[in-house]
Amino acid sequence: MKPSEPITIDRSLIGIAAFQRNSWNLLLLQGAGERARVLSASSYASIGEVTEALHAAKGADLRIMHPTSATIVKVVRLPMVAASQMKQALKLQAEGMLLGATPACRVGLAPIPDVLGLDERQGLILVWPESAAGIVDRGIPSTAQFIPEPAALLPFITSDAPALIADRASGTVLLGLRGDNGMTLRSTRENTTDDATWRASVRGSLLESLLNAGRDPATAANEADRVLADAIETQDGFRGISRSAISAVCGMIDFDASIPVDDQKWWNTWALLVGAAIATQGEFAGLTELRREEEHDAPTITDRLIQRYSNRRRSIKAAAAAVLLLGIAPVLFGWMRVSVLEWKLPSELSAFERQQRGVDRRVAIYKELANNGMPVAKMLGDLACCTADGIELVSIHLSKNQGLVLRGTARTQSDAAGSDIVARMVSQLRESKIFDAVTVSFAPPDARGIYVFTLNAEIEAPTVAANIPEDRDWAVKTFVERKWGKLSADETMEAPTTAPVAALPTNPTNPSTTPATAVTPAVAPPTAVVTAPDAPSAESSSTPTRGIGRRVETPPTEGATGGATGEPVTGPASTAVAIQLPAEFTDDELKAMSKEQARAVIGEIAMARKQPGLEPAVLERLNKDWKRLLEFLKSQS
Amino acid sequence: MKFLHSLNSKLDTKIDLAIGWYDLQERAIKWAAIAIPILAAYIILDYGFWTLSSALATRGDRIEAAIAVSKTRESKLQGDVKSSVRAFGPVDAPASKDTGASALTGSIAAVFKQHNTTYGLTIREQRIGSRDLESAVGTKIDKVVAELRFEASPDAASAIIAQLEAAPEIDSISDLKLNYQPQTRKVTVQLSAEAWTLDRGGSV
Repeated sequence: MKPSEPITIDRSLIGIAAFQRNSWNLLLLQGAGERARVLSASSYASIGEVTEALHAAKGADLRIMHPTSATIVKVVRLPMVAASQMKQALKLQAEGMLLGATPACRVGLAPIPDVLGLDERQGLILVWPESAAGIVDRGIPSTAQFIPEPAALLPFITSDAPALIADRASGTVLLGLRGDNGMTLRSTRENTTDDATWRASVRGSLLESLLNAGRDPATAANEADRVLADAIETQDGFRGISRSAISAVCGMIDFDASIPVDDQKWWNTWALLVGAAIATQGEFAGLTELRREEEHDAPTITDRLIQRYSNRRRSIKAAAAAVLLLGIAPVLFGWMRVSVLEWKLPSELSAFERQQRGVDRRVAIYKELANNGMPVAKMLGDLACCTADGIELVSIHLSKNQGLVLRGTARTQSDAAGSDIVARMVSQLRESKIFDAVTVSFAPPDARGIYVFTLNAEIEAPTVAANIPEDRDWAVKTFVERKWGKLSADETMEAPTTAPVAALPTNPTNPSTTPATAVTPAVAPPTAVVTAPDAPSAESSSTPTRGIGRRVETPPTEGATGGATGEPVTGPASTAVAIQLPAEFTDDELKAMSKEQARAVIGEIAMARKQPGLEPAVLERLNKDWKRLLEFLKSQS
Repeated sequence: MKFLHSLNSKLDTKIDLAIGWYDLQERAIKWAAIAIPILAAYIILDYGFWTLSSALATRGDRIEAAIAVSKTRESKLQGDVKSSVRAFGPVDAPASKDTGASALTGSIAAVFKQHNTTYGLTIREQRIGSRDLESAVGTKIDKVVAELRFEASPDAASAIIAQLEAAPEIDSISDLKLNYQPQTRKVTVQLSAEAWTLDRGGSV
């Protein structure tokens, strides 16, 4: 990063600017050395350009011409004392005059060099009242100083001729002259609408001042007429500065060669600025450093705060407000907090707390149930799902302390021996994760190959959802569906007893021929139980509040329990390619059938009806036989 | 705005009068004039505003605590409790011993009446002895155990068991024996149905 160049400021350079209707005139003055030197005189459109030009010339001291209309002029008499004492005396007079109503920065003081006698001198007080706006421009820097026009007129006041500035817009007339009584500097205002009358008023003021200065009336009148006749018309009125005065001023200051000093027109515009430039360098310098506001360090927030609350009335109010705030704020904050929190609450606080205590108690009850209870309906369902085909359970004992004790028989099936079937059940019990440490004991098989066994198991996790595959889950696939596949809509409508519990017959005379699940499905999922036709009450037909109601969640059970699903049959049997149509049978033949035979035939009819392209007559006959078989099975059960 | 300005102006007048009065007083009265308003302000704040504020803060804390507990309860539940909720379904908080016992027997009677089944019933009492449960409920917990024996068809038996377990008045079935009777094609069932009750009378 390139280091920034140090800012160089030429402290001897002064820029004196004057506002002229639509433009700003800037006179650059080099004040160092024995004599000041005017470097340039140029016009700018705005004060911003003026400051830029001054900064470009490495100057920082900007002085703005302050109008006479916003200046109080006072010439006072001072005792003949040392210079420092004289300034003090002048200051005392100024304070006596202003009574502290105007800040010191707006007051310019300077002793006038003329000596009136052995014991008297004159002093000049220029005041910029706070009520007077002066030159108002937002672009004027806060550091700018102001030179009142009377101070700029001082170098032009000679004994030969008075100096005059008349501003038509404000009606202000500034007169300066020397006479027997010393210097007279007078600022007056002539407010008349008529231009001629105003000029006459200006002449009257001038004449009066001349007479006061000791001129005889004739001389005074001649001098007044001469001044007015020689006066130069300016944009704002007219200006009466004699050529001798300009010549005298030229001797007080140097000019750059580029400045047309000999051109009278140049002086018409720049005379006052040159006068101000001379005033900044001499004894009148004290008159050229007026400021709009006192120069001081920017107050900190603490300073402002202390300043503000040093007022007793304000501090009492603040204390009272603080006390109120101390009282109200916590209440208000607490009320808002409670309101927001209450809005979050689902009910009134005490009811909510009561409800939460109830929930806590229920959680404790669930913990106790998890440790020492067991959901027996669920476990019977899980047990049913773990019982392999070919097993008939005779006794079930479920106890948290003693675990599971089963007694039953296992009959050899076409694919496995009875002992293998029991082993399969043991494996399925372990896989369920509900039971553990399963042990089984067999008695020797009887002549028919039926094993009587006793099975013991520990109840490991009674509340956990059992790990049962879908094809073994009674809640997902009913016994009928396992046996013959999914039933069509008309089959389920005609067969209300196809629910797992009711559809499974038991044969008291021949237990060996009873399906292995004769008992276990009876305690299969509670949903299946409560939706069975023999439990028709509203309570029992609704979804159970306990146990795992998987039955409800599985669409196949709807058809099985009598719901009209209307879904197409997609069971494995429907995909069979060539299924023989079962033969017709008479009523006598039907009566002669055993249950097993009837069930086998109903299975054949179910498969046959799923064949595509059946003739309507054949389908009708099959439906008819189906109904006859169902009636027969119903009557048998 | 005009009203406020007028009020402010009146207030200023009063304050100026008070300051004027204060300036004229002796030192002791000046100190008293400072101390008394401060003391009065403190008393008003302490007994009025701050008491109210403290009550509001306490209520806010209670609500916050209740909301926080209810928010975090589920995440703090152990897995076995969650599975227990799924397996057992809704449960009721324990009732008094008399209420619990009569609700238990009434519930059993209703189930069996619905199934038109006769049953044998023995009632006994037992102490649970679970400290967690007792600390949550706030009193000792007993259980009324109904020893049931009945015979029914397999489907009716399973329906009765399921309905008994589903009854909110019955908290747990602790022991179950099923025996199939081939001669009658029925199942003999023995079970222990428990209702948990409070040791002292009345609900908690």
